[in-house]
Amino acid sequence: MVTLVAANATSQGWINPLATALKMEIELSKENPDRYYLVIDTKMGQVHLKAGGRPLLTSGIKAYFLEPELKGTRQVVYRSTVSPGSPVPASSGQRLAGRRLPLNFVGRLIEGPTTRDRILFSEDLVIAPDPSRIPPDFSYVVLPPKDIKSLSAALEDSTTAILVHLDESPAER
Amino acid sequence: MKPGILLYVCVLITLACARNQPSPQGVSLPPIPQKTDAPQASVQSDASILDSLRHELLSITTSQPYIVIDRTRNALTIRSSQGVLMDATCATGSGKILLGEKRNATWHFKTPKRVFQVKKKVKNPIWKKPVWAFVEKNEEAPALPWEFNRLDGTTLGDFALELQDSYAIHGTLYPNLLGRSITHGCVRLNAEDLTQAFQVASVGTKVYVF
Repeated sequence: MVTLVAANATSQGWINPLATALKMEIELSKENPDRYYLVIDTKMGQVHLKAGGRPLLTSGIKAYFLEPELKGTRQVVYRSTVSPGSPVPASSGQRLAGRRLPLNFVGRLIEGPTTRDRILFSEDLVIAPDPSRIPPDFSYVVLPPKDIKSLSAALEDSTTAILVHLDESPAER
Repeated sequence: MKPGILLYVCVLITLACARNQPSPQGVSLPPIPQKTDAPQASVQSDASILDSLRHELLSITTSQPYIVIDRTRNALTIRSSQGVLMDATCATGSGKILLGEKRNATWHFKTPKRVFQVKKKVKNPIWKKPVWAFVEKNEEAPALPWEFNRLDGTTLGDFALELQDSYAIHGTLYPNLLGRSITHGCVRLNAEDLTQAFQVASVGTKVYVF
C-alpha cells in the first residue's frame, strides 16, 4: 500500500500537470481550431505556438524566472506588447523632438513587431528577448529575439498561453 | 600411478570444480524486487491517459499536411503530424500603402495574419493584373477587366496555390529577393520549392499565416 501511494505521488508529480495542459489544449482547439495559442513548457524548455493542436513554431527558452505561485499548469492571457522606443533627437523638428518612437537607424517609423518586443501576459508574466528592464516582481521567460518577433506578430488580444511549470530547481534572476 | 593417489586427485579436482561453481547461497546478488502490479499499473494508466489525450488532440484536426508562413522571417514551412516536410524561404507583403488618383483608391500591400485554406491549384497561372499594378507603374489601367494587356502569363511562375481573397502562393521572376517583405500581399517561392509545395498541398490544405 505504501509503495502504491509513493508511485502515485511520483507519477502524478509530472503527469497530472501535463494531462491538465493537454485537456486545456483540447478545449481551446475544439472551441476554435484556427485560433493561435501558446504552450510554455519549462520542463521541456520550449515555447510552442500552436493552432488546433498543430505546432506552428517552437522556440527554445534561454532563461526564465517564475514566481512560486505559478507552479503547475495554468492559463494566462495575452495583454499587450511593449516595444521599446528610440529617442528622437531634439533637433529633428518640433513635432517629434524629444519623443520616444520605434524608429529604425535612418529615422523611419517601424510598424509592427520587433526583436526587442516585450510580450505581457496576465499573472505578471513577460516574454522578452532579455531579462533586463523587467520589474523585479514580474515573472519572465527569455526567448531568442527572432522568435520574439514572430510570436509578437502572431499574438492578438486575449490570446491564451498555457503555462506548464514543473521545474523545482531554484530559478535564476 | 597408484589407484589410491588417483582417487585422491579425482576427489581434489571434484572439490575444486564444486568451489568454482557459484552456489545459490554464496553469491551476493542484489535482491530482486518483488514486482507488485499495482504501481506499474498506476504509471501505465497515467501514461495511457496522456496518450489518449494526445490522440484526442491530434484527432481534432486532420492528419493532412499544413502550411505555416512566418511573415517576420519570410519563411514557409510545410508540416504534417510526422514533422517538417519542407522548409523554404519566401517573400511576403511589404506593408506599403499605394494611393490612387481617385479619392478612395488606396491599396495596402500586406499579407494578413489569418488562417487560409488552399481553394484552387493552378498550373501555368495567368495573372489578371488588377488596377494597382498599373497605378504603381504610373500607367493607365484598361477600362475593361478582360482586356489583353491585363493578362500576364509569366509573373506567377509555373504553379499557384490560390487562397481566399485573391491571395496566392506563387512563383517569382526575382528569386534573389526572396527572404524579404517586398510583395503586394501574395507569398512568393522559388521554382523548386513551389513545385514541391504544389505536390504536397491539396485543395483544403490549411495555411497558417502569422
